[in-house]
Amino acid sequence: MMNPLELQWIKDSIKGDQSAFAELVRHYTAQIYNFCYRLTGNVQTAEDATQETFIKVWKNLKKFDAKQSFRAWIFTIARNTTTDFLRKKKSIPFSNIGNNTEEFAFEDILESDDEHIEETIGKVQDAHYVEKLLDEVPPDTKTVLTLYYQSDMTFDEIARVLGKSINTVKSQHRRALIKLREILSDAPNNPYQSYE
Amino acid sequence: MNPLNQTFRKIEYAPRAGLAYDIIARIREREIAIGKRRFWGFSALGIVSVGATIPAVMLLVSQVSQSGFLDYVSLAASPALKSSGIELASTVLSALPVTGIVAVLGALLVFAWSMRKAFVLPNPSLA
Repeated sequence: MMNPLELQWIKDSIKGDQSAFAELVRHYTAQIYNFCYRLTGNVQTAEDATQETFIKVWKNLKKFDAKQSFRAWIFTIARNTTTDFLRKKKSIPFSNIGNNTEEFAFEDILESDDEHIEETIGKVQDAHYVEKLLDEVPPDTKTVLTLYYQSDMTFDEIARVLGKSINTVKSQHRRALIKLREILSDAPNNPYQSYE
Repeated sequence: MNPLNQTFRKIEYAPRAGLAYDIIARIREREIAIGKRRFWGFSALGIVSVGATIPAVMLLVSQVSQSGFLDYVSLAASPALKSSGIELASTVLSALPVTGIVAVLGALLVFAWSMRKAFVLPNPSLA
């Protein structure tokens, strides 16, 4: 269900209310920028992609179906825009953006305990260490984690943004948590070993 | 809140201060540019349609005088022809300078439509 305030901003923006559209921009800029930066790793490209995303949203707002999630819609535009930017620059750091060729062991899905793993990893307080942990997972899996935990998206929304099936997204999420827990428990001189 | 939400929030990349403002400003610039293009484009069309109205009116006047339309209309008031009202009506209608009327109305409609478009604020969805 869409936030009613957000829905009102969208309706007013379509009618031509510039201040309503400005509210949408202010509300989503940080999230979209963070997402674009995670995909590009470059400040300028992320800014350009963010700007272009909002211009596309502005041009196509009338086509948006209010029954959908606006958040998933805008992030989908952001993803496609960022991909276009990276293609033009002929540098795609994440060569499989939107493509997943990993196979997931069914036992991983059965045996994992998401809440316990989340609690374990959630105890990590050092932001720098968390960033290093994230570097250990594949880029598209990292995208799933950041959309889930930073942008508070549902798996369904993430699946729509990334053009994947919901089961793939859930598997990637679970697999990433397992991987992170393994790293936490196996890393030498791991200050967080006591959390295992 | 899930503990991982808090953890991941610590590693969010924040945009520079003013990025949202710059985006809004750029979109407003585009709106103004679109508005100017619409204004000048439709104003030019309006001027052309005003120009087209002159020959259209001349055509209408010429057709009215040649068709005898006004003569038939004046006959309609004649008591001698009141009994053949339907025939007279059909004769009057057939004498209507249709081409001239269509040309004048068309030119005026295009003018009115282009003026309406030229002075309407741009809707974001029409960009």
